[in-house]
Amino acid sequence: MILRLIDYLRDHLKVVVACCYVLIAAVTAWGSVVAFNSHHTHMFFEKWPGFWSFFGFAACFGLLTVARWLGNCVKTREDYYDD
Amino acid sequence: MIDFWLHPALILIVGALLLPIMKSPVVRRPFLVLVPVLTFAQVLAVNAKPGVYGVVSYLNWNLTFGRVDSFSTIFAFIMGLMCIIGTVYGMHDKNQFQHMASWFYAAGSLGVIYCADYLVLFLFWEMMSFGSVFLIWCRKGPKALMAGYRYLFVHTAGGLFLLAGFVLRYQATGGDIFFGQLDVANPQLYTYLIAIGLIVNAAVPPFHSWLPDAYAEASFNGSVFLCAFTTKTAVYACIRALSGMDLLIPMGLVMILGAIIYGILENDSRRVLAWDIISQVGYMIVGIGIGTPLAINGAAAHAVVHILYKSLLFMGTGSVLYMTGKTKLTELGGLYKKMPVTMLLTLIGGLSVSAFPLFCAFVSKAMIITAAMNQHMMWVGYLMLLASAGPFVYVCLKLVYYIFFGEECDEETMEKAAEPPLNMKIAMIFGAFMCVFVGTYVPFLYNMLPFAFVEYHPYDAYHIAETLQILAFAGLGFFLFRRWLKPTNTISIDLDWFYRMFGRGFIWVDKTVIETVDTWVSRIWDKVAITCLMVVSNFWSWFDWHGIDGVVDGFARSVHGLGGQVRKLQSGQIQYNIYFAATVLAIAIFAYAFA
Repeated sequence: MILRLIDYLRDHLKVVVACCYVLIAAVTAWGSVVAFNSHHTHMFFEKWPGFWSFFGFAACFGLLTVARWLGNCVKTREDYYDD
Repeated sequence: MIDFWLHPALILIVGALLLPIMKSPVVRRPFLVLVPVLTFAQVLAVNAKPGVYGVVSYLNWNLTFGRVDSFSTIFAFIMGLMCIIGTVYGMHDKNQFQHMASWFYAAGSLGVIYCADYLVLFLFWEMMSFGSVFLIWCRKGPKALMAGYRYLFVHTAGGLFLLAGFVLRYQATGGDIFFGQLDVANPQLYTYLIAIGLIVNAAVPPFHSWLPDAYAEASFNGSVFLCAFTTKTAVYACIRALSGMDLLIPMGLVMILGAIIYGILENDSRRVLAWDIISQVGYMIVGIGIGTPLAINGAAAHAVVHILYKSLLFMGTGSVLYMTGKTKLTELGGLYKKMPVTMLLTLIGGLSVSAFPLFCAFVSKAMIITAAMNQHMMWVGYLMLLASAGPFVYVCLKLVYYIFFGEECDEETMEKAAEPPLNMKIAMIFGAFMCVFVGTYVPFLYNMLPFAFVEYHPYDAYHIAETLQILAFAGLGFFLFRRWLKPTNTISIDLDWFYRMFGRGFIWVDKTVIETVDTWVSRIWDKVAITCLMVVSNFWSWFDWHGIDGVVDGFARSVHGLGGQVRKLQSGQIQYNIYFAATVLAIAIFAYAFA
């Protein structure tokens, strides 16, 4: 059953991707409304529409960028310690 | 009435000692289930009656083996449960030594959790170190052997710091061996020594490199035990001794962020998870550094859920290793076709580590972040929120994608791949169930937390919306930049470079400098000292021959000569013998008569 579901989703990848975009947009919209009306925010900018969406994307981009940069410095061949 | 208190660790120790006589699988397999189940049952029984038990007088000390309170109960509970999961997972393993080492290791952890003084703490601390190193060596092979030695080296050094710390404290306090909260506001030298001893086991930088090094080289079931016990027992000890130590906050942040970066770069699936352990323990260390009741509750809760989902993830990757013999992401891919159940269960572990709503880390991680915000440590809170995107990207998406999806691996690996044995699946299914259960039925975890009076509600709309947005857009980032995450056949240089190079430098110095000096000393010895010795010994030889032997030999020669003369008297003819005897008798009578 799991296999059939995965294969079905892979066969309809474009639709799946489109659904994900819609879902992401919906989450952002809902999150913006919730933040605007919430008393749980810690700082004023958390009430900005889509703040946490931007934060999540920036966090991912930032971590990947730092990893790419650091990778150039620290990555080495697998048998480095075997010599 | 006899006041008998049975330490749960004792059941594991006795079980481990009896295991070698359980030769037949018919007896061994039920025994492998029975011992951890009995241990867990005893943990529950002990936890039901808080107090101080098992006090033993030794020399001038009162050693306390059983301190049952709100801190120890939650940690003992999860360690007891983990012992069942880990043993069932590896139950089919015929290597008795593996199970014995696992149980000694778990017993060490329970011993640390229930103890109340530094002597007992040190005893069980070292039991953990020596039990766990055999879980690495059980994989066999030169890499595991060397990784085990490095692990032992680091943990022995950590143990010595701990020992030095409490000996200094013993002297400074006039004989206090109680293991409790240290005065972190006015730290002394012993405070730092004890702290170093504890944080070495928690893999706090710069003492962290042993963790990815060792856990990636351990056996398929050994790493399931390793991922649960060492760091979380250290977290427990830090909660006991170092709560509110400000220095831990920046150290924890370095752990969280640094480990994510290294996890993203990693190619070995179990190393990815090992880096994630450091990152997640970083949250706990930050919580301990903040030190408020909410933060400590968060650290304890996160330790519990982390054991659940990390063991599940290690069981998933361990199943792949067990079935295919591969752990590198570059050598894996497309395994969902052969291992769909393992894929699904690993995915549940990935969603849990990402703190998705309805999964266990969602109810724990946010407590620490909220505690930081409540203390107006906004940057600390935001950095932890920023880091919460990391596990979703490199564990849930990257790891699962490159093992189970992505480009299909080679034919030989694909042929070997299959769902693991039933006992492994049962352990994983139970782990996955617990991840969802703890994430959905919040009171189960929250009722066990050390500070019962602290209220926290994770399922409010704002928290759910915040988490979903961060994770959704982190996922979008992965989708857009996934080629940056493509694994490569490389390793990343870390701080272990220093002690690996120190080891090599030591061997180089030994082979070149010390060996050369040794050779020259031998030559000088041959030329000078041996010659002098020969002169002296020749003199004494001459003296012995001509002096000592002259006296001794002269006496011997005299005796020899006299004997020769006496021998001549013994002609063997009876008439001469009678003649001499009669003469001697006549002289004797004559002398007696006229004397």
